[in-house]
Amino acid sequence: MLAQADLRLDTIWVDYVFVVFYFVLVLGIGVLARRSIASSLDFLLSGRSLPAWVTGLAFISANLGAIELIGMMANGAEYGIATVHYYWIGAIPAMVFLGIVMMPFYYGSKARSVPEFLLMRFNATTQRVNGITFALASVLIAGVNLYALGLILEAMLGWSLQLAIPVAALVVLSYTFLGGLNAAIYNEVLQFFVILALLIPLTVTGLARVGGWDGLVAQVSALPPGQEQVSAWPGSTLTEIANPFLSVLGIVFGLGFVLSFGYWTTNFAEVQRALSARSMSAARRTPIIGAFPKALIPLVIVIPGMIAGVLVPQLTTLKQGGETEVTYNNALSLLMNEVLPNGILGVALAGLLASFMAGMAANVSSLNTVFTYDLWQDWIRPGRPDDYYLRVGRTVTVVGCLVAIGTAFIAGSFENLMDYIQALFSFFNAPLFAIFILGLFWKRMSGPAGWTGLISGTIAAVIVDTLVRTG
Amino acid sequence: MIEVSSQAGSFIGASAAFVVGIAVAAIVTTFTTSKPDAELVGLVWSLTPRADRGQRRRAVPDEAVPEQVTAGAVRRHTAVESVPVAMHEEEGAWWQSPVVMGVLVLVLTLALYLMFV
Repeated sequence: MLAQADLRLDTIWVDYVFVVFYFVLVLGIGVLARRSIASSLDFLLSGRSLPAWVTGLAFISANLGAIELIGMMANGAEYGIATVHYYWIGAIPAMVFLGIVMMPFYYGSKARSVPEFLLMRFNATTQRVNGITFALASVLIAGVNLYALGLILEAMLGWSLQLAIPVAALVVLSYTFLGGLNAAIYNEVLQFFVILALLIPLTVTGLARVGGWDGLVAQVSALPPGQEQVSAWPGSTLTEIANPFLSVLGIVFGLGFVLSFGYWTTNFAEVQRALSARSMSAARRTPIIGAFPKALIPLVIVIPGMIAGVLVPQLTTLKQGGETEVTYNNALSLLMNEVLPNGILGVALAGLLASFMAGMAANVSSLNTVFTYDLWQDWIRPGRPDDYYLRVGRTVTVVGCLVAIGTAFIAGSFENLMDYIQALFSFFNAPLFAIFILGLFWKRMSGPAGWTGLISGTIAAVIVDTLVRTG
Repeated sequence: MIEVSSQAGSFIGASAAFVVGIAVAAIVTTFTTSKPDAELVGLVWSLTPRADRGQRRRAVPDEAVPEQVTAGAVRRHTAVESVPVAMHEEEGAWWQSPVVMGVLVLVLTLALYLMFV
């Protein structure tokens, strides 16, 4: 993924002014947020004091990481309009369900994390099993975001990845170390707007180049595979199911139920944003406020992806089945270079950096909380004073970033990052969702059933993954 | 062994994990003891009356619980007291209601789908 040569951008000094200004702003927020930290709860859960619009925007920003931006634009170029299913059926219903049905239990229980909720509902073993797998998944996914962040620095400044990845880690580390979750969340709100400052000009100038929406539809239909790329249903290219009815069924139940509910309702990196809200009502509105931008954002991700497919010569060759050195994963950077003038390019680069930092900071700040509370305080070193756990939280931030440097190079060794991430989700999120939903609606479900269900589900996913890889 | 693309593969994997997780949890439950209802208030749907849904459980601070440091584990939540929480505090206007906003965003999504059928 992300062949390096294709990411070389035609930047000039004006572009760097925006990027530097943005970095100063990011670090400033870290310094300001430091003032409000007196306890471990302040550092790890923002003292449960944030208003709904802040947590709602952070909720969606935490999801707008490297995978989302690069992966979904690639899907837009490759599959066309059908990509919107990932948003409209694959996210919105689950986000509304999380806010209306599940949040009263999460927030009402006063659990500080998803594993702690499992401790209350099941037992300590379930908490530990989930705590360990979550910590593992966090550092692996933080590595993916860090790798993408390093690639951007490499493209802008010509640094090697060996230098760019540690430098990128240092920036994320400095603001999360100073200001904890507060800094991460306020930066996510800023990042949300900066990411839009990347996506909106990209869509508008792109559309102008292809002759508006009608021009885009005509040009996409003219390329193989033709008409089916400009309609959302039945989405056969996405599901690889030829029968239209089964394809729709696959989208609704597969994407709309197991995958999306599994991701949105149990992923602590997301849920944590809602748990830091100041009231039950604000916590319930967090995913719902986030759902509004989530519903609209495919307009500025999927459409530019489709534009890239017809406007960038290498991608057009790819669509026609020709030989080229680029992949669909390069769609975003290729389109940026194609349509954005200097100056705007700088804003766009800041947006890209914002996106990858938001992704990584979300992983690091949720790792902090789970490690400090669920693994350290509830298991390994219980009963210490609070400032001890505040220090543990800060230490984990540093260690988490260092480990992410290592996992960034693991991520770099995978040819397709999207496959890597999808496999991680099927290992960790799907079994968690299973025991969660069963435990919520079936009061007889016992404590040991929690962790045995988790582990056996993970084993089942790993077996399927192995069979697919060797197949 | 299974010949599908990696994308379809991870979907099958997630479905398998979901089904196996539910099945094993159901089987294990039949051999083990369930928690008493009293400990599950606010954590399980049927044990949480609608008016109370969203009551605040507060773990009694560590000092108040006799510490049993058996194998390094302290049961922090052995005692839980419930204090009522205003479920609808700061919900004065319609745009502050989670249900109204939830329905609105579903309608918006449906409208977007109709535009891009």
